[in-house]
Parts: sequence; C-alpha cells; structure tokens
Amino acid sequence: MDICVRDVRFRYACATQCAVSGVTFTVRAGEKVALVGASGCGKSTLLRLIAGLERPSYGVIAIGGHIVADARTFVPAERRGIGYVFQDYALFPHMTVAQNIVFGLRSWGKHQKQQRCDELLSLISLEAYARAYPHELSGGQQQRVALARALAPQPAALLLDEPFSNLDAALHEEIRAQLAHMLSRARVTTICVTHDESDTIGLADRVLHLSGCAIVEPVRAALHAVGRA
Amino acid sequence: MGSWQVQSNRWLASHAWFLPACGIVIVLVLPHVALVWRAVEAYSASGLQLVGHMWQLMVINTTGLLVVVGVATACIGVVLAWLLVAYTFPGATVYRVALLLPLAIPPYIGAYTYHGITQYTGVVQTTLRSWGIAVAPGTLDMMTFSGAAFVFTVFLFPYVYSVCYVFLGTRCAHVIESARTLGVGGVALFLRIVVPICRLALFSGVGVVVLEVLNDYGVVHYYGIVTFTSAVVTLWVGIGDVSGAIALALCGMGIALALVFAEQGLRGRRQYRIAAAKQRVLRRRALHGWRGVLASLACAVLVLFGFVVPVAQLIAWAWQMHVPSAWDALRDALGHSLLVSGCGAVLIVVCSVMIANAARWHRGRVGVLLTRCALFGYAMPGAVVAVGVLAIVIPLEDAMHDVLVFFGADVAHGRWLSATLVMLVYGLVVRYIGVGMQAVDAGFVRIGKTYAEASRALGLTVTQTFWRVDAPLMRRALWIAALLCAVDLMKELPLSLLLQPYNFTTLATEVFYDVRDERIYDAALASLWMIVLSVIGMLLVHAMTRQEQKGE
Repeated sequence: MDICVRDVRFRYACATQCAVSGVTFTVRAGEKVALVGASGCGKSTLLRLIAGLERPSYGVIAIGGHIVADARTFVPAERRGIGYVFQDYALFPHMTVAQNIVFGLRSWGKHQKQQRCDELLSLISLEAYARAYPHELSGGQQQRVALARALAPQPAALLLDEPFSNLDAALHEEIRAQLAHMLSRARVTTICVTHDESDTIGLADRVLHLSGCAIVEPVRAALHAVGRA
Repeated sequence: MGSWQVQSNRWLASHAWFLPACGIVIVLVLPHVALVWRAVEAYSASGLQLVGHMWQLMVINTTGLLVVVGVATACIGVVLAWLLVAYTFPGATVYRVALLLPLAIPPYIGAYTYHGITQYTGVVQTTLRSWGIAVAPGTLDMMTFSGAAFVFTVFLFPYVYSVCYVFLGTRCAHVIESARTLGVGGVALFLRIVVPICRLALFSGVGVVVLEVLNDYGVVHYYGIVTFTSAVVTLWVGIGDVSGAIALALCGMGIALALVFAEQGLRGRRQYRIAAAKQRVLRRRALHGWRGVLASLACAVLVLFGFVVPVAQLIAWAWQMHVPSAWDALRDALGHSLLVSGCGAVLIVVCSVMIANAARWHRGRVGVLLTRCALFGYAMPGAVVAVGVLAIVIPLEDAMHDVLVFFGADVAHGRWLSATLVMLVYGLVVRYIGVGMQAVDAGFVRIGKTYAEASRALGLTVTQTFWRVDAPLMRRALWIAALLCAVDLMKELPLSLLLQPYNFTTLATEVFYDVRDERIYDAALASLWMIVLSVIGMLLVHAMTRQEQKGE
C-alpha cells in the first residue's frame, strides 16, 4: 500500500526545536525507499510517526488512501498494521524465536500460525533456531528474526530503522545482500532509514535525502537504475 | 633484603582494600557461622518438643502470609507501575511519588492503628452506631490472618511498585513499542509482554516483601498470630530456650536460602535482561473518561489506606494525649534512634565501600564471593541475625574474661559488649549491609571503571584513586546509601528488641512497648516522629535519585 506524508511536523515535549518540520513525500505501493540523512536530522522520528508511535503536531499521514494521522484522527500503532524493525531489534527476551515470530498473529489458527512461522523461518534461513532464545543468536541472526516477526502479520508496509548500525563491519556486505534478497522476496512497501548512502545500494529503488529537519528532496538514484539495468 | 621490603610493600599496597574487605566480610558472616555451630553443638529435646507443638500452626501461618501477601503486592505493584509508566490520568504526577509513602509507616504501626480504627470504640464502629447501624461483633475484627495480610499488603506493596516502575520506565520502551506495531495493545499487551518482562523486577520486589514479612515481629505479635519469627522470639525471650531458638533460626535460614535459589531455578534458559541500544522513555498516553477516573481512584484508594488514614488516626490520638510524663521517654527514644541509625548507617556505608571497591578491582570468583557473603544477612530475618549475634558475642565475652583472669587480672565479669550499643549496632550492620551494598554498587556501576582506570594508568594507587576520582563522583550515591540505611535501621524492630541494652529504647521499641501496654496515645506520638523522619529520608532519596538520573 502506498504511504503519503504531507507537511508533517513534530516536536518532542520539552524540546525547543522541531525534530521534523514540514516533510512531504509519497511512497508508492510495493516501492522500496531509503531515507538518508545525517544523524539527528529526524529520520527515526519520521519512521516513528509513520508507525504511529508518535503523534505529529501538524500535517497528514495516509496509508493506503486512509488517513491515519491528522489534526483530528490518530490511529495508534497497534491498529495501523505496519511492520517495524527496531534499531536494536527489540526481540522479546522471554520468548523463543518461533514465539517471537507468531506474536503478531493473534487471530490466526494454530495450524496457520505454524505454517506462517515455517515460511518465514525458511525465508530468513533460520529453520534450525525455532526454539532458541534471542540472546542465544548472533546480531545478524537477531536482525533476521526481527524482520521475520515484522513481516509475519503481512503488514501494509515495512519500516527499517538503521538496519546496519548494530552489526559487525565485516558482515556488513553479506547481511546487506541477504536483506536485499529477503525484501525482494517479501514484496512489501518498504522504508529504510540509514545515515550511510552506500548502504542503500541494492536495497532501495529510490533514495530520499532528509536534510535540516525540513524537506525531503526526491533524488533519482541513477546509480541504482544503472546497477539494475 | 631491600628488594624483599619493596616487594612486600607493593603487595600490601595492592591488597590495601582486599585484606580489610575480607576481614569485614568475615566479621559479618561470623554470626551465621556461630548459629550453625551452636545448633550442631547444643541439641535440646525440650526446645524441639515445644517447636513440635507450634510447628503446624507456625508453618501454615508463615507460608500462608508469605503467599497471600506476595501475590497481592505483586499484582498491585505491577498494575500500578504499568498505569503510571504508560498513561497519564488525573493526579498521576502526584501518585508517582505518593504511592511510595506507605513505606514510611512500618507495618507494626499500621497494625495497631488499624486495630484502633476498627475496634468497638474505634472511629468506624462509633460512627456507624451513631447512624443507628449495629455491627455484629467480629465482623470488623482486624486481629486475624486476613487482617495481618491486609496490613502487610497495604504497607509493603510500594517495594514492588517502585522496582517495576523504574524498570518499565527506563528499559522497556522498545519492546513495548514493537509489540504495539505488531497489533497488540491494552490488556493483552500487559499480560503477554509487560508482566513477563517485568519478571525479574517483580521477583526482586516481591523478594523484599517476602523477607519483610518473614522478618516481622510487631504485627504478628500484636495480632496474636504464631509465625516463624514470633516463635523464635518467644523461645528466646519468653522461655529462655537458647537451643530451641537456634534450631528454629536455622530453619529460617533454610527457608530464606530456598526462596533465593528458587527463582534462579525457575528462570531456566530464558533471559529477562534487556539490552537496548538507546534507552528511550516510553511515550505516555492519556486515559480519558471513565478509564482515567478508574485509574485515579485505584491509586487514591491505596494512598488513602497506606498513608492518609493511619496518619490521620495517629494525629488524632497524639492530639488527645495530655500526659506530659511520656515526653521524657519519647525524647530519649528519639535521641537513641538517631544515634543508632546514624552510627549504623555510617558504618554500613564505610563497610560497603570497602567491600564493593575491593570486589571491583578483584574480578573473578573472590570478588563475587566477597559481595555474596556480605549480602547474606539481608536474606535473614532480624530475629535470626540477633540470635546469631548473641551466639557469637556472649562466648566471646566469656572467653575474654577467662583470658584476663588467667593473666591474673582482677576484673568482674563485665558485659562490655552485650550491655552496650556495640552489639546492637553490630547486629544492625550484619542485617542491613545488603541495603547499603546495593546502593553503593549501583553508584560504582553508574560511574563505570574507565575514570578509575585512567587514574591508575596515570600512576595513582587504588586508595588515591578512590579519594581523588571515585569518591567525588560517588558523593550522591553514598548519601543515598546512608539515608536508605538510616531509614531502615530506624524502623527495625525484632533485632533491636533482642539486642538493645537494658534501659535503652529506640523509637521502634518504644512504640512496641507502648502498644504492648495498651498506651496507644503515647505510641501515637513516637510513631508520628518515626513516620516524619522516614518521609523526610525517603523524599531526600527520591530527589537525589532523580538528580542522579538526570545528571547522566
């Protein structure tokens, strides 16, 4: 589903400056977009606004043609149906990998849950770890579980917050390739936030630059187009 | 020769903290060792027979109280913590602090206050009679098992609430938010995520509650409920059966240790520690309409029962007291309390710093062993510690006397330890060093080791580093530790009852004797003093903790 952000502004309580001021952009259904900008420019806040974890002080956010946040309406995170992969993954420490993955499938039947879980475990190639606890996995494996958990309820869109910040530099290339592969198989609208533009190669169809908390300028990433041609 | 001296100096310098710390820990562990030793040595049939008669009742009452109060405080504590962390509603800012106030009232004061309120001549029944409503005798009786459970719950739940509040407020935002993005909110979120991840905090809070209930003597004595601690004190003071008391105290040690290890066994492979990249504070949502009113009411009821009602009754009683004769006793008790808790708190902080700093530089098993051994006393009921202290101090006095006589000194057999404050303060330090250790350790963890390592790399010794780097950075943490200990020491009852010198009462024991003699009005004034001092101490700790958190 497409995501539409119109002139969104946001200020944290007790902050003097806006974390996000007047951002406008649209992501079409099925598109993969990377949001790039220096640290502290409000990228993560923008993702939190789209996910419904924060309420914008001004502006409109629409998902799939439905307004989820404006001056009057506010749909909270638990009713937006958007997958979110946190920077530190936030896997539930008291649940196994399988329990984490099926956590969002509340109204599903037992059999369906099992089936979906198996599907996702094979997508992230961690079939052998269904009964492991999060702290028993490596950082890259934890990230894949977080991705599977976010994808499990078939969300309208997937948001990734700095997916490479907590990983070993040596594994960087490999994990980026894996992530790109998994995302292309999952076929879901994706917004990925990162501070390093080179991370977006292969991950995103389009790169948006966020600068000075203000306007997102769409930049055709010719590089990517060439790369895929 | 010269090189040997240099070497030995260096060895001493590098162990300047370790050796004294070992010495302190040994002195702190001695009472427990003495207890086991004496129990093996002396074995009295009469004591065991007596215990046998009380056994069933004692076990049922003690476990019953532990389970009921543990479950009740756990439920109340975690629900309140979640409400106040995740939501805003009318009065929430006030309740965040006000819900800590019940801790300022020791349960034994609450016990006699509630009995006074609900008895035949109490304010509830008189008011009802004036409205023409007759209350059947026994319906409002507080002096029962459920009355005691109510008193413990209402005055001890803040232990659970405060631990869960801090944990949820500072370390769980990401986990809770990620559950929300997966479509889980409201009650389901609370039951499936909040309660399980709170588990560690919940256990440590309930652990403190359980230890407090096990430790209590005042409530169960006044309400006439035979429990483990009341049996120990009865055997020791009432019947003078030393070995019986020791045998029973040993059982208490077993119970306390079993409780500590049970949780570790239950945890299994799961992990509850949350490693978060950035610690974000959870965004609070507003509770509107009837939900907000309900949440506000729930908090109000607990603040009322846990603080406002008993304090109002105590003020009313103190107002009615006309006899000035009690003033002298009260003034003495107040002075004694301040003296004992002041000395005890300072000693505890000094010992805690010695042990914690030694353990910090001696990584590995020895360091862990040092801290574990020191914490041992905190798991023990006060009566057990007291019996252990007596078991070590009295033979020590006898031995000293024998030695002096052997060398021809003509001295009377003086009780130069047991008849002075030394024994009381020693017992209090053994029992409460855990409180100080936790606060001091938290301070060391907060400042980290890098500053100190930088200082040592620049050529300063551990001791110089402590005075020049650690101590200034830890100043607030040390104050918090001292205040926390002082408040706890002031409220302590069973240990003080057993170890205080003759003709020496603290506020706590003064209240106990007054209540025992049914001098409720005298007790009210002493109680109020204690509550006022506790509230001041707690508010100071609260303010300093917040400053410390902001200072990061």
